[in-house]
Amino acid sequence: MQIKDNNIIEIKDLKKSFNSETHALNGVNLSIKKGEVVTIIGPSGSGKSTLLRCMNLMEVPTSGEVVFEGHLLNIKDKNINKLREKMGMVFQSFNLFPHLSVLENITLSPKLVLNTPEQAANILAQSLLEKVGLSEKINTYPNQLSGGQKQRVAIARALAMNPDVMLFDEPTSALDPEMVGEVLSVMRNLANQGMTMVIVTHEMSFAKEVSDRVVFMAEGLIVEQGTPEVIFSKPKEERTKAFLKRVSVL
Amino acid sequence: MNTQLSFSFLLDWYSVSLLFQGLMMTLILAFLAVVLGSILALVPAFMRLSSNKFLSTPATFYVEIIRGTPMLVQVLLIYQLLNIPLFLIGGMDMGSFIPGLVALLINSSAYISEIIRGGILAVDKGQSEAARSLGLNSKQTMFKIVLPQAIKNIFPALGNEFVTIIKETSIFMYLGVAELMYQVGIIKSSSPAVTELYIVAGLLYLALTFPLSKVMNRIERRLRYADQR
Amino acid sequence: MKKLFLVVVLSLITITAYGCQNSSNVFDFILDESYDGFVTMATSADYPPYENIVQDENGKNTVVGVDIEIAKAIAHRLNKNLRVVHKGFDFLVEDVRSGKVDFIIAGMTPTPSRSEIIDFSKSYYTEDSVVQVVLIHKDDATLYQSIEDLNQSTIRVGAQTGSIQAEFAETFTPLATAKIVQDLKELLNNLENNQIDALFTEEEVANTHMNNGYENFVKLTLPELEGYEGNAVGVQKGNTELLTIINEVIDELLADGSITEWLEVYSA
Repeated sequence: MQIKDNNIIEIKDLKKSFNSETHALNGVNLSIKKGEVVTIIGPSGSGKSTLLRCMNLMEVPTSGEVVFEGHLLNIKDKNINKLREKMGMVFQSFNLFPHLSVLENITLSPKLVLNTPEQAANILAQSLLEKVGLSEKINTYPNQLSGGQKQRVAIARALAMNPDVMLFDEPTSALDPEMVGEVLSVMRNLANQGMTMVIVTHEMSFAKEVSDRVVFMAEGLIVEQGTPEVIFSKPKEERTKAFLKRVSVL
Repeated sequence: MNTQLSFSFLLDWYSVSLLFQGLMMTLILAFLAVVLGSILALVPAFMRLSSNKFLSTPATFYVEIIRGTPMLVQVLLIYQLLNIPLFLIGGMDMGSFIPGLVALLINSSAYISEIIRGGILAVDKGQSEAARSLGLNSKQTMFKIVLPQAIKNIFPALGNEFVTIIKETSIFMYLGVAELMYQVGIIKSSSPAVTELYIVAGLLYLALTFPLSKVMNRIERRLRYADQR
Repeated sequence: MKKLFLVVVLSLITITAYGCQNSSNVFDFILDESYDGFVTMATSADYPPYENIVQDENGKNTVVGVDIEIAKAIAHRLNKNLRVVHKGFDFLVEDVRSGKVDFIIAGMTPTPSRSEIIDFSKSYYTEDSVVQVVLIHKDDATLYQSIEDLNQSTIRVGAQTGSIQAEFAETFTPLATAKIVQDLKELLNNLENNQIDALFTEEEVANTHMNNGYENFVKLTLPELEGYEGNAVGVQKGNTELLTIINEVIDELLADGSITEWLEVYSA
């Protein structure tokens, strides 16, 4: 696995259309460096989620390239599963497996895909749950958890595969306000530990605080990107300014 | 209209025993159709779900043809195609029973495959997305994540199908297999109380379908209780 | 409460087991100990006096009727015992066409479409049995005195699906409303309950039912029909050997009055 220029993900001229009318991405170029925390913001319909989901081929691009750790991603490639092991994804609607306990949710993939033995997997699960602050919930079922707890378990589940990058698709958008903090706290810790993260979010203050780079998208294109200081205080583009005004950050 | 009903044939031990034997055979046939039909149904179900047109198109044809034609026509055709000579097992004419069973299984498997397919499609897409994002391949995703959840969707519909099949087993009467309607025909030839006989037959079918519906409802409620998100 | 449940279940099992003994649709007749093997005949035993299922002296189901007697005579001639299979009428032609059974006798008319698929013997109907009738309620006897009286749009006539009688209904009472169903018993009950006004059927069949539970009917006789000779035995196409034997047997039975005798016995 070569890492070209320290770029863990490279996206080249990515285009995605869902049908002849809906063009979600109109030629996006983006690189994510190892250890970077990149936040993607923008109005709804701008293509943020689509871009994120193209990174692990949850969406298959219409044209363009996605290169992960030096490998060109191709959905038909048998290798795609192995590459996905190294990319953790956290979803807006959590997507925990309801018929499995929290422990089973976390240990399923390590046991099945990495052939991790039972005991080691359990220990791993326990330590991850401690990290997200939910050790006592190890044997409960998803339907017994609150939204914030579910998302934290989802993060632990993704981390169990020891990924090189974590992709977050609006992780707090479906949460009641009082639970947003606990999830952002976990994400903050993760960032401080040096995890490469790509986050699509509406949480502007969190983005300002945690990101190394902020990317602003609109209508399927990257309009502007830069450090949080630049983007949030001195945005160059009109559209960026208009958006930030609407979400009252400026 | 003659409103005086005479249920005196019920006092005849003989007739009653025939009716109960017929009822049991009805239940056995329906049970076979559902159990074996469900196993068979997995084939067209997965073929239809496949993205490969060479698999999904023939499967769709199969299902649509079976669902769109009367059962009697299917039985007649299969009876002709499967030319099995007359031989007896346990007093039953296998030359008629086997084509009948094959027709019943083909029929039930087509309907059940739709139930299975619907149940699988009804599982939230996010579930398979989460599984794939963790590195599970499509087989692992289907068997560990999607199917276990699909079963909760499939079960109630399967119960309904069982009830429908119980009623459809009457097709066997034309083949000489002694299910309930066949026995009704036998008793009819020696008893003029036809209306009363039909009433009793209807009640006997209810005796099968009604408890079955209740059991399915209970199971469905239990599955839903475990599933509160 | 549990004991009651157990008693109920046990008695249901016993009843059902008893029923199992009598549930075969295949009836064997050992005509002579010396005969080797069976010749098989298929029929639809719901059409007395020609074929019907009754209880014998031992309480078991068996088939009896004019067609059964004829079949036994054929079997005798072939030095074989007789095996009778009872199933739905629609399956009989296919059974003999495919060779599943050796011949079929089921009050079946040799129509042109059937004759394309299988071969038929000569008719085994007597001068009396070839007569076709219309049954009406005793109370209507003065109202309808001839077939013509029934040819009105307000009259409801009945006949069996796919039968020659259904054609006769079309021919003789085209203005009447026709109820064509599979089940003869249903039509008889309809006539009894004034849900239909007339029923087209055969003379002998009418007699049988009038003697057995339907005393309130009278018969109107149809005029002699051109080209209708009665019903026949069906064999596989090309089986001329069997067909010749069957025709000989029929000639004998008609000549010595056996068929007339059986008609009387089974329509009583």
